[in-house]
Amino acid sequence: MRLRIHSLQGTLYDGKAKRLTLPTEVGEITVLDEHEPLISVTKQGLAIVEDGEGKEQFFRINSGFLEVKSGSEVLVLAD
Amino acid sequence: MASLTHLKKRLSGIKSINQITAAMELVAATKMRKAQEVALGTRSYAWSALELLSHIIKSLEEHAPEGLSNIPLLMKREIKKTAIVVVTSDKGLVGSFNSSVLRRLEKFLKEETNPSNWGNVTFITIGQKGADYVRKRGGTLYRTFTNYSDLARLDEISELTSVIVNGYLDGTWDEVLVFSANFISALRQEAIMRELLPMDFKRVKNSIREVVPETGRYSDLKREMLESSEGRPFDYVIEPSPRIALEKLLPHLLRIQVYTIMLEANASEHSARRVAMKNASDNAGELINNLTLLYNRSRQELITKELTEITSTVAAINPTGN
Repeated sequence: MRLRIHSLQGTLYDGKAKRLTLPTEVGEITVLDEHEPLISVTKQGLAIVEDGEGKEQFFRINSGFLEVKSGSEVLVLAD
Repeated sequence: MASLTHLKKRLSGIKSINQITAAMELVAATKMRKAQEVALGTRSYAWSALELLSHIIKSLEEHAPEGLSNIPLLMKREIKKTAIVVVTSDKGLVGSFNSSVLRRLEKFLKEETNPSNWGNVTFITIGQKGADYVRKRGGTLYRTFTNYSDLARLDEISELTSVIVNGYLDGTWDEVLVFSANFISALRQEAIMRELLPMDFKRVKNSIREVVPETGRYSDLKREMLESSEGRPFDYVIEPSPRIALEKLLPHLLRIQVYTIMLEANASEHSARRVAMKNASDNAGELINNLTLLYNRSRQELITKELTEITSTVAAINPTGN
């Protein structure tokens, strides 16, 4: 899937990812390929991204939003 | 004829002023570019947030239209009290930057308010100059923020935004207006009034679009933004609920709006300062030329005078010439 993480300071991540795990208001979720379209409010915590090469990257999130579009496009707005 | 030492002193004074203004011009130019870059850096976030907003609203319209009503930040209510946010600079030497914003504000106050409801207007000022103005004018200062002027920081913006939002939610004011400079290009800024609260989607969209300047270095980004703005809507699952998502998203959008307004004011301030300093440097250069000319002329006159004295002395001592 293609993952983009935007913050007001700029783009934090833009590229391929295998997996994204992050805390939301209704509980922690993991997004994989072909996830159904979803909009969710994220909670303070750590977003874990497994990038195209299987390496894990971490992003701290205070608040924000997760949007999963069809066609395996994932967008995170983070503060 | 002024004495040579006096001229020399003046000349060196003007030269050092010239150096200072030239340096300030360069610094202002760099800061302006920096403010522009930061403002442009927010655009992918801002556009995604707008897109998200349109998806949530669409979903609400389709499935639960009643969820769109009674959202405090969107609701228009009877306007009894107004909060006015004035964005100015802390320091001077910015040409007409502050005075044009304050003139715009003055015009608004004359037209829209009268002394009887003057008490219903509360001011929030950013920058020393605006605070001084409100105090002199006898207005009610709710809060004043200073040290924003180089480049607004995100935590400062969050604080400002929460002051504005909280005052609106607890009824301290019923609308929020912002007076600030809008950055059009490096040579042109204009003072404008924006309505911040209650929120209006079209206005939010416009102010985010304004981030990209009309002309100059970054203007071609405008097209790119317009093209990417239309996404295909999907049938989203929205958690926890569309209404909660919307209520969470609105303050974020407001913060983006405040942030871009502040960054535009920053860019405007720096470019106004750059122009003012350029004029000052040019004037100093002209003065230096004139003074140098005067100095050389005086020096030559002095030499001529001395030579005349010498030759006349020689002639007096030895009148026959041999």
